Amino acid sequence: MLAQDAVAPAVSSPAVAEASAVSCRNVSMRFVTDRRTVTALENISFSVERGGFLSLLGPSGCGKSTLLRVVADLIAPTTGQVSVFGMSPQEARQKRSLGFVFQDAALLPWRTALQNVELPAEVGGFAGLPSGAPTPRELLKLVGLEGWEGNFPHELSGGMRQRVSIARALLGGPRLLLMDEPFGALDEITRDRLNEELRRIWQETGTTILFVTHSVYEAMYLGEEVLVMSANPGRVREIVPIDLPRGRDLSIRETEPFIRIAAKLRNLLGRGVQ
Amino acid sequence: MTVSDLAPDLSIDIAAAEAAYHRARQREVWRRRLLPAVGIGAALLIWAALVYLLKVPPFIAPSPLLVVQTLYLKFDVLMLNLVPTAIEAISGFLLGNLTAILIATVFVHKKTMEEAFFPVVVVVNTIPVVAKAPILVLLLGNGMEPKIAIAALICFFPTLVNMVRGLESVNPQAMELMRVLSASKREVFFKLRLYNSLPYLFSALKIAASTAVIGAIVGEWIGSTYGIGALIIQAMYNFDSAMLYATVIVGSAFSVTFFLVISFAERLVVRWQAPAAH
Repeated sequence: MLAQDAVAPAVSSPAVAEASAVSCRNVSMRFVTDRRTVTALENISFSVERGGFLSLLGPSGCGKSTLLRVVADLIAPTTGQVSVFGMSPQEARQKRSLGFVFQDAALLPWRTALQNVELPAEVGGFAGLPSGAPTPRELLKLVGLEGWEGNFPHELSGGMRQRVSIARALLGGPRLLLMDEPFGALDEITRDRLNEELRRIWQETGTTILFVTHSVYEAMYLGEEVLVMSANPGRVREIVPIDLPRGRDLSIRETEPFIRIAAKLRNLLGRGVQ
Repeated sequence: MTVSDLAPDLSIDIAAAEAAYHRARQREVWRRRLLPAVGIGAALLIWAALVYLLKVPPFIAPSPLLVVQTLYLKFDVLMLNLVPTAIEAISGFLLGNLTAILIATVFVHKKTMEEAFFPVVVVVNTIPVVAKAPILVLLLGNGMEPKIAIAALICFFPTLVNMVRGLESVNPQAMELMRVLSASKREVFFKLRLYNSLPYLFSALKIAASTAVIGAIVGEWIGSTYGIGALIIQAMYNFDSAMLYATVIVGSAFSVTFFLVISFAERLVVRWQAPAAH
């Protein structure tokens, strides 16, 4: 009886973690420099369900990108636990469960669009595409770049480069897509179009997405939930569910519920800045 | 007036503008081809005029015509002496650059090595070539070896510095990407660092192409009986100014050819850089 009691939580807790795509518990991150110690993240706790879309919204320097890098196993948190599909971030990375889209597309300039999408299949002991998974060509088609396979990055516009990098992140069908302000450097028209397409890709692939942005509109248009952060130190201010229809187009930004939630988010952000 | 009334006029305007643009471009192309030729021609004329008007004796400075004559009459001797210099310069170029690339690779993977030995490299590089040459002749004797060593040493430093920079200055996000993909060090090197270093490497190789020839010639100045360097010294002691100038022209023609070959190779290999990125 006693032994069972002791065992029960140990069995059930991975099962709980397994239910969510990403879960962070009390994650803190401190950087020590010569001049001072910076607390980039303090006691961050949240979870995202499988197939969810969470936007991380906050002012510059609030640690949103740091948080994304902790989940991607690019940096280790000072304290706290992170689990990705019930695994440690390191295991998740090694199993290719996650794809990362960077702020600048980070394409290799000596590779064509297609060769860039193929890169993940050439390194890190890639096990081969699962049967039925989209090929690099199909992924380029998915992001609307059919016919551009043979072009080098310098021949593509900023928006097209970012589409290639999304296709690359999707190769091998990662279950989690981490996006670090991917559209931040694009003009508004391109950005709107890519926002629409990202929603579509999310619905078509069923991938869980964590999306870092400092645009209120982008965060709410894309996300099913928005995690609002405050800076110095980086903390979770509130997790706001976005009660908008699943099938959205950009015109939703002119509707009353959208404007109401936007006002709420902006209010939260305003209080986050001291 | 409607839009359709305007349309024909507009298309004529466009055709005229395009024709004017092409004419301007054509002129620009010819300007770029002709002006350097005009400049060189003028310099030769001034040279010839100065020698003729000031009655400069041929043992001090030759007229351009005399140099051309010597180039033609002594072609065999000049070519015979170019061969060893070319062999030394090319061998030195290969040796120096390959060593630099290998050491740069080691430095990038073993930071400790870089921190310990880079200062040594800098110190050796501060010794002028003319001072290094006698040391190497003493060490390596009077054959081709010291000349190759001098040419190699002179190529080594710029390539090492550029190669280390090229291998290290990888886009940090591309580095993070490789980590997300769990790429090994070897994969990062061959898929990322090496390609990234190529533009840097080629700018060093273009410098090395001309300095390797200088290295070989300087090596030949010290106790050598063959090669472009030896020919220069001989011509000088014989007050054979026409031969001296002819030798210099052959040496620099070889340098220029070497440089052009490397530039051509660069254009074949580095095809990805946008013109705007230069």
